[in-house]
Amino acid sequence: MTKKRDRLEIIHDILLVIRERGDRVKPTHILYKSNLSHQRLQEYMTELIGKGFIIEKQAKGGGKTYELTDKGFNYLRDYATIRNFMESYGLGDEPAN
Amino acid sequence: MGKLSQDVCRIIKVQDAAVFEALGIYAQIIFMTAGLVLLTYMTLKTEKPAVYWLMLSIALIGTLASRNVLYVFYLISALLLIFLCWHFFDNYAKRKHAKTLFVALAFLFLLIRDIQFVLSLDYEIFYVLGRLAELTAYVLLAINFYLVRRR
Repeated sequence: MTKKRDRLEIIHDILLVIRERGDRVKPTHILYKSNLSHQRLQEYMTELIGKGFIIEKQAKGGGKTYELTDKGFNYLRDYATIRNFMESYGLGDEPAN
Repeated sequence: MGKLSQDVCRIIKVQDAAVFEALGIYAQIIFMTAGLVLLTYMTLKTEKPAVYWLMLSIALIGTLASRNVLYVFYLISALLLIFLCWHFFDNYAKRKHAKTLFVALAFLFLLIRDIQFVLSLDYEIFYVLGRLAELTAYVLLAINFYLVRRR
């Protein structure tokens, strides 16, 4: 059974999807990759835009795309450092066998 | 008491250098116990802060209320360090990285330091060996910190 993701992990997953797809990522792709309901994703996206982790852009063919800001990149870097630190002390999740 | 300690005492207006020394020892006991209990609490992966406060109060009251404060402090520290060593070596067995090995070895050296300090009550050479083991432990933790920060 997989464990429930915490808030910081969900934010990490959303930001990771956006970073991996560059500035061409659309809401449907984030929805698919982040494994969240539409409503929950909207809440997270509003918060991430409000706090300056991502910016919303208008796509050429209409619709929205998202891009990471420096703050978003910093979050991903710091999250990886903290995960790394926790793993070295055995405080994170158990490794998959 | 060295000149530096006397100067520090004069600056912070502590009349007797022995009081300053005692404050340092008690600060070390309290902070070290709080740190070891916090690490033990975190390895238990429970999300009940009451468990931490209960463990900390038992450890601190047990230490400070005893007749031989230092001896009980090293005894309780050793018990916590035995548990932490077991946890960190178990973690190393699951994740075979240099980082996990350094952390496990660092806590093993801290455990050795505790045992040597207890022995140093009778043999002074163990005090020096204990300090060397402690230095090795902190160097290993610093190396781990560097490896974690490195990208």
